Amino acid sequence: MKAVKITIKSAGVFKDPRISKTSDKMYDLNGVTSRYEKRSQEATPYIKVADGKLSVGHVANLLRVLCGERPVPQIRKVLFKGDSSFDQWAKEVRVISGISLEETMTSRKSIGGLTSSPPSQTATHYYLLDGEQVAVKGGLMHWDRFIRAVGKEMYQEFVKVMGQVSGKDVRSSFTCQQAMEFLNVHKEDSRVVCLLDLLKKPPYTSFYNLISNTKPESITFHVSNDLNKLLVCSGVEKIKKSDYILWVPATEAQMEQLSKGTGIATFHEGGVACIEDVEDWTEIVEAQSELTVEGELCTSQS
Amino acid sequence: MSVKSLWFKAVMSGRGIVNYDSGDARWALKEYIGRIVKALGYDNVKVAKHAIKKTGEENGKPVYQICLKVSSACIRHSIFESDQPFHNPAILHAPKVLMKLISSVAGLLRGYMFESKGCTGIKRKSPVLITDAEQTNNSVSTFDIGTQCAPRETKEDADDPSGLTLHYKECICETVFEFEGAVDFNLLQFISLSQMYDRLAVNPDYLTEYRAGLEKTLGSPVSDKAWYIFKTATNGLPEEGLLLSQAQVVTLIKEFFQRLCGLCIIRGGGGYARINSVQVKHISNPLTDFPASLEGYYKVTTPDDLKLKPEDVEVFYDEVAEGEAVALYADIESIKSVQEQKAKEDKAAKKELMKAKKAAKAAEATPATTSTEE
Repeated sequence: MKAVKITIKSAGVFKDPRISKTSDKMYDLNGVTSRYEKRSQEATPYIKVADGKLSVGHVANLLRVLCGERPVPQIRKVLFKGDSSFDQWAKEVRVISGISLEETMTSRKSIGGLTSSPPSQTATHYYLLDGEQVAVKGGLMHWDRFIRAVGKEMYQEFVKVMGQVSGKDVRSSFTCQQAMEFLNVHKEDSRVVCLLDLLKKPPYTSFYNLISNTKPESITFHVSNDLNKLLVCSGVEKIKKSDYILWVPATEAQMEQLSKGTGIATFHEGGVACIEDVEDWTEIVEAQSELTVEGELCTSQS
Repeated sequence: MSVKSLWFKAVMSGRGIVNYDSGDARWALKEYIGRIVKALGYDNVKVAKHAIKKTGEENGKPVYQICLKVSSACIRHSIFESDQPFHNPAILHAPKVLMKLISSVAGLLRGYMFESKGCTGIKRKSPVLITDAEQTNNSVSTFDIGTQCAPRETKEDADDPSGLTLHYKECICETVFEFEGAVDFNLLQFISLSQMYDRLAVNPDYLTEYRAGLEKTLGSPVSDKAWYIFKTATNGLPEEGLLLSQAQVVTLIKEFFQRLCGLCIIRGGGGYARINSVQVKHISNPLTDFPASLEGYYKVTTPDDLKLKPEDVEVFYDEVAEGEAVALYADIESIKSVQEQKAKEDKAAKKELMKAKKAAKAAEATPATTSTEE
């Protein structure tokens, strides 16, 4: 019997997904795309393993990859099943764990809808309307985006009225935001009133609300489209990083299998595993190490 | 003997800290640092990422060695920073841009996962594995006090934190870091067009656009999609996809080493770390070519220094005739539909059972109410 030494470096495990309410995405044939569903407050099941231990399932998948087989997801729905002999093999693996340290990772998420919760995560832009700073949800409105939003005809009408009222070349004298603020100042002007009548109708209503400063909270022109999504930093998530040494007992046939693989594999989040040495199996290995454990499948709601 | 993967060791040197941790990391640091640092007791302290090792025991107590580190995520980001300076998931809604991104060098080497409700999710596992970089020189970090030019915030409530402009920051002079990693040829050479093995990398409906992008990236024609079987897998089923040629694999590896050899992590606050040396080892037999043994390593300063020839690259996939693969898949589909039907029936039965239970509960509750009325 041979002992194959496998070292694993900086393998990370995220904390309980129900606590961190992660926005982590997942790939599942059942159409589940997120690990944590905010509306139902349900987290997808996950395997909980005590600190410093490794689960049989994870080690079995590591052995599968090192032997040139496909790893088998334990929770997510997939179309294929793995060779169960690897689970039995993983139960015999001895583990020596190093120090694990909690680190932080910046997680990002996309924002874009008014339904984003909490609402403060929606990008906000301030306009000077009626002498006050008014918060409008969304990113920067510039001329090109304005043309895309209202169409060429309405844009030309807007620029015509704006030019008549200001007496200046609109595009070179005003940014789109300044133009909105300027029209707000002159909203009593008959020419602006006519323009506002046109903007009252959908799909321009948001601009009417902005210029006339009515219901600014209903202005959604920046955020309603998926293409206007912004990526923001949603906070930090905690991750526990650990190093391990595995001693894998291997028969001749299993050694043959291991020689077929690439000798390297990933393990947990960002961990790198590689075959480091091959020795004869001794009792010292058993005395200084622990066996793998069966992970606990957690399915309860948060 | 054909090469299955490449193992590399790299040394970075620089000045200052390039990878900071969150404020909470100060608690761990306080426990292991082995010296009293007053700044670690405050909230407004910026702490670098650290690696901690147990080096022995003294008087029955463990002795720890603590050093700086740069996380693998930070290194990966810096390697591909010029390819992907920013990322936006809205790209899923713009297929043409998406195809350009996933067929780029960064898409093929860094990997990706795009998932969103209502869209076809795609993912590719990165064939490049990188460990955290650990500090190897003896420089010791200090905690400097700094001030910030900002208007002082006024407290609106007694419990509000005051707007202090003083803060502490971990600093260091010269640094030397070492990290390791590997390039897995198996993951690199195949692009899956199937959900069978849980790794659909491209929506097959956009294959024309994707192939055009891929050919532009690799500078050579890419073979048409076909059915492939993973040679070493005992439970192997044919998988539809694109197989890159050995020469194309070498091109991508050279692209990676070009980025790695020129790696320079620059932190806005003043720190930097630049690659000093990269050493590479070819892994042909994982049971004899151990990354830890110094034998077989050679220095790489430019991609042209790589001694990997296209004919050395192991091909992990065999092509399968389309008819054979389609027949197999038809079998799987029929089994899947049977399973789905069974799941539907189980769900209906469960619903019925719940209904019956509810009715029984209601029936139990009714006589109790009557007796109270009596």
